Amino acid sequence: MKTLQFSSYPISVPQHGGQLRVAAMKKSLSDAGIEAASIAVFDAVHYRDCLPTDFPIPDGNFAYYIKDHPWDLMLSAVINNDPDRRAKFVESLTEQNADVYIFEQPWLWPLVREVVKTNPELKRPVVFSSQNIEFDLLREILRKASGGILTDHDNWLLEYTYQLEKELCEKADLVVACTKSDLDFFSAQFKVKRGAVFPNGINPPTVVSDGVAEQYAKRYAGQKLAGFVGSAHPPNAEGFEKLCGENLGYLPPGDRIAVIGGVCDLIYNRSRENLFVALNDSRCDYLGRVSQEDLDAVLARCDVIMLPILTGGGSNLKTAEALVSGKTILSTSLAFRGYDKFRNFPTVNIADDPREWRAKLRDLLAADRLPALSAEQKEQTKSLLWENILRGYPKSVMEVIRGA
Amino acid sequence: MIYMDMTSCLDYIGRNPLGIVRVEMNFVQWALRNKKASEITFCYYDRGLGRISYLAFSDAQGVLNQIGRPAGAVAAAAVQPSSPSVQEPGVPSHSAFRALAKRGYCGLRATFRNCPRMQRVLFRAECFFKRLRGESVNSAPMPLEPPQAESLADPFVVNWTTDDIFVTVGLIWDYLPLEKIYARKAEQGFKVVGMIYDLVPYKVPEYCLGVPPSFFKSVVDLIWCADEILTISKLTKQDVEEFVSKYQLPHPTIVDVSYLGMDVGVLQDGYVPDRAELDVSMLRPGKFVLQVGTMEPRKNHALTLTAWRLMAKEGFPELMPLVVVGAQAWGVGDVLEMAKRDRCLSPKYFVHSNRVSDQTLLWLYKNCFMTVYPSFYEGWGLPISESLVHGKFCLTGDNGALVEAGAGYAEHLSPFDVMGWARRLKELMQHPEEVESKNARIRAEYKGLSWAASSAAFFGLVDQLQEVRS
Repeated sequence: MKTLQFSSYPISVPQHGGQLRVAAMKKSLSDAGIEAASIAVFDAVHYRDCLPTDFPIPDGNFAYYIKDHPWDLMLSAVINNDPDRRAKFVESLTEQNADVYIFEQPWLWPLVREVVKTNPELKRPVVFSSQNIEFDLLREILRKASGGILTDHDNWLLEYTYQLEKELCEKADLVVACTKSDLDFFSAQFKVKRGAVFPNGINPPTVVSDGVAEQYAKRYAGQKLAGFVGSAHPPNAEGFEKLCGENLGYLPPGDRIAVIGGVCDLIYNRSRENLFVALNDSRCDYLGRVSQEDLDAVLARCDVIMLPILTGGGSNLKTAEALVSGKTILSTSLAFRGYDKFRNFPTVNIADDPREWRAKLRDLLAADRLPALSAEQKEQTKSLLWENILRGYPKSVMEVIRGA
Repeated sequence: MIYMDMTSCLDYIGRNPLGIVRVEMNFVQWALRNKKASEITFCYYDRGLGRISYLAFSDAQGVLNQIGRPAGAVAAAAVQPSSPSVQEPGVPSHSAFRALAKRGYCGLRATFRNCPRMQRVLFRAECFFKRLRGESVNSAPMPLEPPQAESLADPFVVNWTTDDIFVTVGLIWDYLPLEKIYARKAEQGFKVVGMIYDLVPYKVPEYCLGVPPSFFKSVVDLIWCADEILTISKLTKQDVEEFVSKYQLPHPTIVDVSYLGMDVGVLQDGYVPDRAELDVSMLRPGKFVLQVGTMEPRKNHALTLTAWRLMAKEGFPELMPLVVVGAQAWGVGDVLEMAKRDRCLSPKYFVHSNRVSDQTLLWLYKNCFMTVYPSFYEGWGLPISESLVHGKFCLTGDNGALVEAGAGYAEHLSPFDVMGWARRLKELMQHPEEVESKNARIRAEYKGLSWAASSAAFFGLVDQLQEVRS
């Protein structure tokens, strides 16, 4: 049996949440003895590493499409409207000769649909592996960008995205969602034949070498440390800024917040205009993008892990990482969506109000001792690992193949 | 024991002191006269060594004597070290002048502590200068290896106890490592008293340019460290409490007001300002209005100059000249330039000087009709107190601290109301008897706060902290 995944980013070196999910799903299939292939179509500016089967699009080719359309929506058109690329894509599908097509996000569905029209021998059963309700997410992005007033063009984009998700949900033999609420939405809005929920998971923490561990132990010697990890997704920075506030003086001298990941650039650059910039810099350590080993070392050193998520759909991988770490967590309710069974763990603290958030953060860092997970609770967190979450996924895919 | 921080005084040896430095100077002076060596020790933060160092009483007086004097005079009058009786054990006493030189050298040693090559260069330089001075060269071996990890331990160590109070009132954002004070306090339990003069950069940031980046860090860290925060006005106390509440900072045990004193000079008989300094030939005694203060947007010279231009253009017959004394800081260039170019206003009705001597300022206060001070926001409003102590009525702005400084003897108008100011100024100039009546009342009743009284009250508030804990 062979599967072929389509994605809008490469997964050869997975870093952000979407890449990690697609890579984990591919691995779970191959671990189950299924031959798993993938094709990514993406702009080569944002991603350098890719597989030989991928289609990196040089930046110049996007110029026309980006002018009026968000690039995700145009991925199919970039390939379909270029005869050479289309021919190569058809050749690739033919070579792969998969038994099922798995669409990670809906963007490449129009391309495959058009290819199958002219090459019906390439028709296969379909799995729609959703990562978000794209129409909802796009609406949020467009509203924020336009100050709440949507243009006719914005509405056209939303309608297009909605119809795309509708079509794929109804064509797919299986719709996979990250959360139950996402699947409930699809089931209520569209005629979904069969659905399954496979939440986001994480890989177990890497083994941190003594040298790296000691490096961070020295860096934060004698300090209480809170950690915040996020990608350069503007809502990540906005959540941090709104909850932690413009003035970090509620933390005593010596307490620090380690900011890690792409979100660091956003927070650091935006904070330069802040009246309290020097004060906040004394309370923050902007680590930026670090290796996985360094990330795991910092998180291991943290006293508290923060999840200041205020917007967005799907479930949050960072929540899973925080739970598996066993560390004390300060989180919003939204960040725990999809992880409700863990909300009552002694290490979990929920705060949605900014003042409450800051008071809790200070109190948690000031505490001499913080609650720990019991052995049973630690075992429960293992259910968040990809290997456990995706245990049923290969079987679901095989059922689609067999049912075809 | 009270440990009084006088780092700002040391920093201003040979320089004209800022207002805040004068505060520290006056408190130290009072302590030297009224406290015993067994009650108070003077200290400073040694940037080069990265630690608190100590001064003997006589050294402290020597430091005060050098502030405001030219640098050459400082070198000639270097203070001799005195007995180590009040020194921290094992900590050498330094003369103030030597301390300055050593700080620079130690700063270099600390900066390059991980660089063996630089350590050798500095060591050779030290030996060379010692030989020049005829001193014996240290026979310790030249450093060849990087210092061991243990010697890189934080040198910021203080042996203070729960009975001790660290007092700091200077320009702390320039030097004081409050995070280290906080850590040591957590270990040793001593108390801390600090001064917050104002939160102008927080209340009206639009009027603040060139605020030291570390200002808010030092304010917040001081609030974390301090058991007692003293402010110079009720308004500043209110601002501090608002700041603490808004940003969820810990509330110090005591937040109280400690009013500052004033220097009151004596005008020499027959003194007349030199023409090169300020041309007063066009000014008649009692027939000009004085505005004193640094020229920057917050002080609102735009309002007074606009009001004067208005009155001048109207041809107001009783118009008196406006004399503005104050260094031009920022943001007033256009307004000043326009005033100078306005032929209705200058030079007949507008005189400006960046800086005048103390005697000339006294002459101006003595001979002016009244003063004006339309500031948008102040932590106190020293020009108002100065005006009152010289027996002159002041028309000023109406924000809280200005009303406090006015003490019921000044008059307050909105700093946004140019027309209102012009109207009131015309009334006062048309009825000089009203102003003279106010001036007479001020002369009879107003008593400025002396530095002696201010310092006594300050140390009284410091002492109350010992009672709270013990």
